[in-house]
Amino acid sequence: MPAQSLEAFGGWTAPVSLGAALLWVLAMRWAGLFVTGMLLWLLLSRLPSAPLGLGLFAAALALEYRWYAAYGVNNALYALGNLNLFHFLALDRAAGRYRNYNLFGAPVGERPALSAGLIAGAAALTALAVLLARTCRRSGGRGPVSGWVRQAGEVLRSWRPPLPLWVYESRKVLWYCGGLAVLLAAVLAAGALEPPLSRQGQQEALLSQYARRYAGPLSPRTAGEIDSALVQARREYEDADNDDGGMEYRRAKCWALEELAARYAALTALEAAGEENLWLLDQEPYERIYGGTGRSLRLAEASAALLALCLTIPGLFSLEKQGGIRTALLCAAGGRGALWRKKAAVAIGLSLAVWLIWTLGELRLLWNLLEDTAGWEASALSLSGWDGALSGGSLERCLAAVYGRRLLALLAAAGLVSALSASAASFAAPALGGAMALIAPSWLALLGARWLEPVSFALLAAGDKLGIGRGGAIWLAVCAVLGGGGLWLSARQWRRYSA
Amino acid sequence: MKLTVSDLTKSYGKTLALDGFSYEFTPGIYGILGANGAGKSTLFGLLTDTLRREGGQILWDGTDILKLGGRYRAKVGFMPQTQGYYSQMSAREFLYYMAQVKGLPRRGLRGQVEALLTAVDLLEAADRRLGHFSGGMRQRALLAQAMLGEPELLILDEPTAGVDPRERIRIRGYIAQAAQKRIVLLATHVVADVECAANQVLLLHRGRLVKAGTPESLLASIQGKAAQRPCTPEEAAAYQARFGFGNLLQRREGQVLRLVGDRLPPDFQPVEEGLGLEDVYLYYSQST
Repeated sequence: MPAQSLEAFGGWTAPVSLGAALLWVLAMRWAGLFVTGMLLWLLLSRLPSAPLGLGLFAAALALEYRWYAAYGVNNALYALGNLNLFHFLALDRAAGRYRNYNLFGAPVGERPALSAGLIAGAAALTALAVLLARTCRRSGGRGPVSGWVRQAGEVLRSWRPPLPLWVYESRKVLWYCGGLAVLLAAVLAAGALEPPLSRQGQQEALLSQYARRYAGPLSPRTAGEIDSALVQARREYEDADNDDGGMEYRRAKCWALEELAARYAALTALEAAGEENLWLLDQEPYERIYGGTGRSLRLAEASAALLALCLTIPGLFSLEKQGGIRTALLCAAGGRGALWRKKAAVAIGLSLAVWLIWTLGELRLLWNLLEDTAGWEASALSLSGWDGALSGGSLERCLAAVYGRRLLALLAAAGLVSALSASAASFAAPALGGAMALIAPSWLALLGARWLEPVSFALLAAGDKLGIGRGGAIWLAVCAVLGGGGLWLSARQWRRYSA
Repeated sequence: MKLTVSDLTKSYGKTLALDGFSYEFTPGIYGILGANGAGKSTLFGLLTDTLRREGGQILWDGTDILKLGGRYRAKVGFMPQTQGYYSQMSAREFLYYMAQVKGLPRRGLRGQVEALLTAVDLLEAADRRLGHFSGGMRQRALLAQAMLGEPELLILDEPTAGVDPRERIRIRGYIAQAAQKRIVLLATHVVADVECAANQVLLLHRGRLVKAGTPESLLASIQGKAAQRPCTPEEAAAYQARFGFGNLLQRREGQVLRLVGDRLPPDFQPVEEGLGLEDVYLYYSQST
């Protein structure tokens, strides 16, 4: 019977029988999985470690799927979805679309084109795999392909200068120890973040809406508009019939405008007291990211960033300990000084990379919530209720201070984990130790062990509101001690005598 | 070019690993022979400053190596006993990396690396990962890294450990080539390595230098101190219990027990020819 007789295949455009449709779906799914498996096999055969290869492959598939699922037919990037692996694995959409590709002037249906492409891809990969397997099996790996690869390598080496030491150290951490997979996972996680759900009720939502409408520098005109709107809202509320279903809404509207007017009055009073550059702002986006609403989000971000450091930095020293090469390195002229400095530089570089991922991820959330960032030039005191936490200056400066503080925190964490890594003989111990010291207390404090808050590094790194606070100097000192002390200790441990 | 070691001492807890070692090294190959635990690796650890010195002095051209620091280490090429390497790196990458760590100038580095790979016969396999190398190939790669920068002092700790006889001969050949105009210290418990390669032999036993000299002078020193006779296993055990550890040799006529020492059984035949450094080592290790 025709495939369209079943609801599942109702959208198919081609006149095929049910059997043919099922056969096509199964065959294409098998071919797609085969191609995926072959790609994974080829990738794993060239990479130094299976976990790294699997991690990279999973990251690539996750990126591909997100891309495949995210862009609708009206999006400019939609056409690129045709290059997506999931496009081949889930062919239902293709079967349901009526589209022809222009192949040298002749129309080719999408379904046949995909089928041909997939079959050709599977055949090509199979042939390549067989050829590689046959050439690798020959003695000494000699064969046409390996010979060409060797020649290409010689040509490449002849013009490429020897790599500097920091590149080798970076490669050890990122490639041999799988740090690249960790960073990619961090990028994906940052990209997948969503701001916490707003706790606003109807009246708070209206307040936010009005704040956006009247946002900007203080001016008598704005004050007049707010007053007019408030008068109008009150009149509507008083004139309304009690049985009218919109009473709740009108009450909320009055409340929102009264709040807004009060906020405006407070800002005006601040201006009269000498403060400058005050704006009326919608506070809700800042509250959702930097306020109490965003506390869990910030803690999760801080924990993820610290975890990324704990899973990458141990690679700086673990390979030397596990591989037994440390003694030979310490005997080299630069093995105690220059080599350690490069490792420290890589640790700092990793901290910067993680910080960038964390910062850009969070700023992306803020940008999505704000309609424009013009308000960043306003004084930070424009955020009512946060005065106590802020030290003045523009919002931009406060944001820079907050993110600068986080960078210091990450550098301090990097110092600590470096010291643990230089002292331990494996990768797992410093990673676990670092995670226990830096992350665990924060989550326990969140679950109720409040006495752990003073030592909750992740909580402190995440910060609260946009203020540095009175404890800022203490925090800076703690970071300096941890970071500098950690690096110093790692140098001592690296150079220490075996006995 | 002179390495002077005076009264070097090192202990691990209550165990005295090196007891007052003193010697002066000038260009040539020095074979340091001793059993496991004799103090060879400890001596090398002190010479490379990876072990903390407890007593004594190590002077390079009259200056303490601790004072020289990096300047001394720039003259040293060290091949440690443990086969330490990065399994994910290729041999070529490994040499480039070690060259960077040694601070060698980039100019001429490529030529030096290729020449070393050729010298240790790893050019064909230079782009294969070290993790895929055999034990002998890894030893050759480690030897090549020790020779990077043409160090004046080459310290090789058990360079032929765990390799087959063919590889052992090959590595000895590389060492002999590398020994021109430099000090080469070769620690081993394989007597054949020293017999073939060394100009001077130092015998270490329980942390002490018991004897040093050329192979010929050492052999001459035990003339008249060796004797042998065919024995059954029971007789051999009885003689060794009385006169000290001996060498049980397989001959056409059966098992022959060779004893070395100042006191020998009267019914043993003196041995004048065919003595080796093994016998020298047995003699001196038993007399201390």
